[in-house]
Amino acid sequence: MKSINDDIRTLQQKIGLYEDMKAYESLYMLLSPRLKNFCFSLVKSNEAAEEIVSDVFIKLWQIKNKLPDIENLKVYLYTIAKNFCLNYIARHFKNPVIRLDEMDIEPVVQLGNPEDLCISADAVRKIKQCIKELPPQCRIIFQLVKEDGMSYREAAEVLNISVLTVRNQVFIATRKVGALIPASMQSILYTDRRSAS
Amino acid sequence: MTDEKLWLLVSLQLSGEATPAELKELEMLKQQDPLLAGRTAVMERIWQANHADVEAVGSAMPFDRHLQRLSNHLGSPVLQFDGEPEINAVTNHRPRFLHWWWTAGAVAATVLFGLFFLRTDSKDNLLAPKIAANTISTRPGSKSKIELPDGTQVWLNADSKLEYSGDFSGRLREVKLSGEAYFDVVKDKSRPFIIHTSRVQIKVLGTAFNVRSYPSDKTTETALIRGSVEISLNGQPDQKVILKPNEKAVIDNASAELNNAGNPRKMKEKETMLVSAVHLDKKDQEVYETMWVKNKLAFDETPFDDMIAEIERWYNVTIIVKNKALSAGTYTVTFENKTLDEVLEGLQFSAHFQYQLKDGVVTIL
Repeated sequence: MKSINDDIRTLQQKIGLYEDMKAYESLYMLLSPRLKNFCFSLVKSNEAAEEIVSDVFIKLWQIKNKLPDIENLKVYLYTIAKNFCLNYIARHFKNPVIRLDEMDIEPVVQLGNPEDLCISADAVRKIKQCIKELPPQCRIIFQLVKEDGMSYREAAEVLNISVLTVRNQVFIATRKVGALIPASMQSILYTDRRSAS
Repeated sequence: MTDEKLWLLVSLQLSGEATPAELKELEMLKQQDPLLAGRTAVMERIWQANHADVEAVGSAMPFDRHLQRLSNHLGSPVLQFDGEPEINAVTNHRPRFLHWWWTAGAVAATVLFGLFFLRTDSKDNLLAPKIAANTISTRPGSKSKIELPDGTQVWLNADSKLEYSGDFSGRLREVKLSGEAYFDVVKDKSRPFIIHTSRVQIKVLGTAFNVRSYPSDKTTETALIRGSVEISLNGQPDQKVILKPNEKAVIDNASAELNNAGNPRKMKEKETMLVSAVHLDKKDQEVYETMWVKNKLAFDETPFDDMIAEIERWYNVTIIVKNKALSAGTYTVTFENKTLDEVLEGLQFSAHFQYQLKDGVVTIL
């Protein structure tokens, strides 16, 4: 994930210093799918998530002159996205819950298919269910770290929580998912194959 | 308990947060228990499946649609760039080693021009191929500001197109304009700045002025704010007029002749170009011809039909006027940052009409 941050840094400079449209597009292509999933987890509407991400990038264009001063643009964009989502929820939900540790979060977490994982479809289904049933804050933290490749510090900054909380929650999610992974000879063979090649 | 420890180490490893000591410990645990190692391998693969495969997740809004939203939001710079300028074509009269930063800036500016990629519908090919290396155009309903490679600032009004050669390196700085633009030209006596329009060409040394040359307009107008410009008819280079600040030249597009009415100065041969004072706002002493640069939609004793054409271009709408009696009046009014509805409602006070707005078409009854 280091290289992604380097890419972002380069694009950030180009946009900030030269109003480089090509770089702006590249950054959009790079981050908008992830940001959309993040927003979808919070607002649970595809259309709303799309528009919020577009709004985030409009905001980015408006503040392009300040870009060179922003230390971690990825964190910055996720934070704006989070705030936009909370605003959206406050406006559109009947009984808005705008505390991340209380609100329901729809996890968008990829597992891969059972054949690649060498476990049964049933086990995959159970893992999916397990991730859905994680505490909301745990879900979104797990998603940011696993899916979006964020460091603990980055996830902590986006969610405005401590690095230690992130570490603990990622551990909890990993342990719960891990407990559902069956021990099978197949996966051992798979491991051997991989280390042999 | 080892399970707990194992998954903690795995979570740290997969997050990229583990220390070398922790990684070593994890390796040892896995070697001791092959079954555990098999499970961690599955976990690894679960981690590797992530948003990186975007296709599996469903993508975000396509970029061009986002760009459309961005333009609508900013209410102005929808730049459309044609042609890919060569980055290294930027030349520089100053010694390079002394002015690397200047070159960098110029390169950046040039690069920027090549970087917009929305397609323009090139209905009218005004330009001789010689100058057509770069095209910047605005759609109806939007405006934008650009800086040319020599530092000249250009504000481009709605539905307008500016073309220029890639680097401005030649003896002349030449651009071709269709539509309306306000120029603030950087002084360079050795390289005159020339604007070609379908009817006239305007030669500048360093000055600020407005040119209006829409194909649909009856006239071509040049309003000078400061400095001086020399205007000549295409194909009649000897027939020229020099404008003073706060004067404007109006050329009738229909007749090949320049016509001369009101209070003009003498010109040689046929007196065909109208030279008059620019329209000054009585209160603010602001020049009507250039108010659009500040996003003001301004009319000064403008005939109704001309005003409607301007509103159509400004808001990118089609306006159908059913009440022909309205065409008789002229209007003096300024709208600043107003919506189409606000403008139409404002006009209703003096013009007394009803209107309907539906699907981007306004019908005035």
